[in-house]
Amino acid sequence: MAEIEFLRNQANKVEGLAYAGFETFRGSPYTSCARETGQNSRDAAVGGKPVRVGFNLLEIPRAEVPFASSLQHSIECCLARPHDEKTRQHLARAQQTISARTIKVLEISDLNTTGLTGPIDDPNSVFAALVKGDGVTNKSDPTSAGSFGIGKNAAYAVSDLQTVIYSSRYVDASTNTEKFAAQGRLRLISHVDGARKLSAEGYWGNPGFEAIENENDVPNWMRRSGVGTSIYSVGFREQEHWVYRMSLSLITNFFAAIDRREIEFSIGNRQVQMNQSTLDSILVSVELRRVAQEADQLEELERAQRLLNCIRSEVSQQHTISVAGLGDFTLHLLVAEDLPREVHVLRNGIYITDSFAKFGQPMKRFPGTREFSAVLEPARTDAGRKPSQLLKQLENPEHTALEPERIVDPIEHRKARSQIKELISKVREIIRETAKIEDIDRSQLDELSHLFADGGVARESSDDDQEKDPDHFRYGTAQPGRRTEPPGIAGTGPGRRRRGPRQQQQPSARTGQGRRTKTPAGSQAAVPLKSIRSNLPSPTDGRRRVIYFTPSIDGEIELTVQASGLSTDPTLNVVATTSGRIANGHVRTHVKDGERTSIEVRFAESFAGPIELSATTTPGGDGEA
Amino acid sequence: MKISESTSYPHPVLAPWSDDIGGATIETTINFREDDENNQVSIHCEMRLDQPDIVALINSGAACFGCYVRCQETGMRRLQRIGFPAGTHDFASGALLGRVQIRPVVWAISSISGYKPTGVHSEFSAGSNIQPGQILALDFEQVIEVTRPPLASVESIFEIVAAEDLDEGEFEIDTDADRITVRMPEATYQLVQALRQTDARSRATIMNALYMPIVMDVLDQLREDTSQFEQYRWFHPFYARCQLCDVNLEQPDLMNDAQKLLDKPFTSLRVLVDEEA
Repeated sequence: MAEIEFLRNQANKVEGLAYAGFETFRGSPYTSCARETGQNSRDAAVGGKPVRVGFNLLEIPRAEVPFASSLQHSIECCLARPHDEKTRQHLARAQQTISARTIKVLEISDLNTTGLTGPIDDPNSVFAALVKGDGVTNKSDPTSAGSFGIGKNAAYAVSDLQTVIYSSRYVDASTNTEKFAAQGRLRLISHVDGARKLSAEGYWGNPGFEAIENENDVPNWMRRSGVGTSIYSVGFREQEHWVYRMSLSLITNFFAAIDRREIEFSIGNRQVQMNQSTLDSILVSVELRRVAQEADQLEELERAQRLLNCIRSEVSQQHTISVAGLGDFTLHLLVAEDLPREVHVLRNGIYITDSFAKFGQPMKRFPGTREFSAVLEPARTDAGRKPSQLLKQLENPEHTALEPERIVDPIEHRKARSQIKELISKVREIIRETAKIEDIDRSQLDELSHLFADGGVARESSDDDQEKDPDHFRYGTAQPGRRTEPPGIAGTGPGRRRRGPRQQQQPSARTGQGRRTKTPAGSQAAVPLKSIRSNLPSPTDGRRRVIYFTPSIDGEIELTVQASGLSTDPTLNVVATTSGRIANGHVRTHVKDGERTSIEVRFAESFAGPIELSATTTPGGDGEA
Repeated sequence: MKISESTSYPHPVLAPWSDDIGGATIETTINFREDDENNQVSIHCEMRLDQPDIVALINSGAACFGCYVRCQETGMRRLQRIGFPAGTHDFASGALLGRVQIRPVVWAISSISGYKPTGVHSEFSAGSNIQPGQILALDFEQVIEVTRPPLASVESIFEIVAAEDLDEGEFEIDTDADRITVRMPEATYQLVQALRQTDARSRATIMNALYMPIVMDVLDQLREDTSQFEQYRWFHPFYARCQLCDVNLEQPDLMNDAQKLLDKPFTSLRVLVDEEA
């Protein structure tokens, strides 16, 4: 049966609350938890689909937390001995949390990832590195975004119980079957339980510090339905705006990976859904801006907007920078007014830093250049793998700077310094060349031309509160397009518009002439059809199609079905029909004016795409409008 | 890809002209910004969509919003993804020219089985299997006209010239020409050019440090006699601006009138302190 076990403390070691692994993230728990867990999921991506990470708050009845009583007992043991006030307050809060009727749990769950691959008893496995490793990375890919194996501790920083459960479903490489593993890890303080001297560090799982491999041995809320990893931060410290504080961290760090459909997030039980489609609107959302302002992170939010624009604007230039002996980087460079002359580094689509100060090259001043924003990242090709590895080695755990001293080997250290300096020098050269200030000896002062326009046309003095509108910009609103096709043919047209100048036009009729090819559908009169619709009666048989329409005549008509193509609409040869007969690949059938008609046809060849339907009267037919 | 209002899709498509999906609306506003100087266009689209299932598909990442952009002159035909419900896209310089047709579209980016949105017409009641790339919603096509050829910016009546005959720190204003010409030594000229192009702070500075005294000097010259300048092209726009700003050329208040004519440039210096705050 699963239980909590603490390590023995034979040495009487005194272990307090201030565990270095957690302290790194104590100052910004939500920000760190979001970034570090998101990065771990990003690094475990598998398949072509975006990694999906959900941050959901669960309210679990105490009875469904299998270790609640055991943990409460341990906390009480910790409280039994005298402690400093800070520790006592922390433990008292933990005791209150674990003895409540329901316990808040933050579930961080990913999909389209490998899960924590085993074998779970292998100390080198990803599962073991994450659950039991300290300062050990659980990533086999040297280019992965994480570096230190420290980031996993961020999930503890949001837990009042300093307790995290890992639950994973992964594919066992030797048997190619799905396996399950779950284990918890917690950290209180060193304590005494009866006669036993115990360490601060404990584990929840099978006896002997083993993981649970039978999914039936864990409560429902810890089970997984697919391959991936779930992390449960038990006793979640729920503070105001936690959803937006985490969203802020995710969007300011992962904007590029989200835009490239490498990762998607759902935060607060889908309160915020962050993906390629919603990215822009979240970046400018009022709620996020307010939280950013409160957290003094407005600059980070605005930076994310600028850098995203720099990466995807077609006005930006992309430069490949090759560094001898290392590989390729990509520099995205956008030169435009009101940008702050900045160069920022991304790796694996995640924001890293703008600080190269430790290389003696702060990259903060760019005299003699126009305003610009630049993003530097390892090339997203094989030639970018080594640059990515190097940046990973140089990055500090706080993700704030690249530091050459992190490479201990003196030869490698010198080499890295020289390569990064070469990179910086090339970046500066490109910026100087691309953003240089024009050098001519006569120049019109265009910035005054909106005030003193030649020809006597001068604008009214602008209101101070108005946004500056440089005269070389023209703003406008798109106008309704010319509708060469009569709208309403494919439906009765009751689709309504909420407002706006464009009014729903009355449905009109089709001419019966091939519109794209301008091929006459014969010398017969066109028959208007209304509310045309079609569907596929069998999803696996593209030759079958049911077509619906309402004719405007009584009598026999000839129906032509065309495949809606890029520039022309080739006729689809009909070989069978449930109504009427076939004539040269067309359907001839009797219809009644205003009566809804449905016919199932079979095409000679499979076609499951959109169609154009038209009709004429038949030669010698009795159709009349 | 062809998208027209007469096409019948083998699955329900929300559109203003169709009743495939009832009780829902779609409306898109498209604004554009054209940079005449660089022949570059940016569009900003805002879609108002109240069909909950389609909105949910977009929010969950199974579908996305964008525009099918067609430009006859440049040959561009592209389905351009845009942020939902609002987003902006900057097109490359020269990518769009003349008439540009823009059709707002929502399309699937993942497979959706048994697609049966709320309000779907009974003729689609069996549900549809949607493949990535298939259209889920359409709005009417809209058109923008991109200036063709790019308009020259309004001609300035002021110009600066690097002159070899002046000493460092000296300026000379020449009003006996079609443009008011400010002559200055080469080094000063380079400094002025750098200040003009550097950033908002330096532009605010140059407006006050150089343009203000130029305008004051011109007002001073005009005080004596305007007729001697009527032959020059610069005079008429300058005179029109003075009338608009209610400046009495016979009795100018040099400093305050120059402030009026330049649209209160001193206030732009606020940027120097605001950024430090």
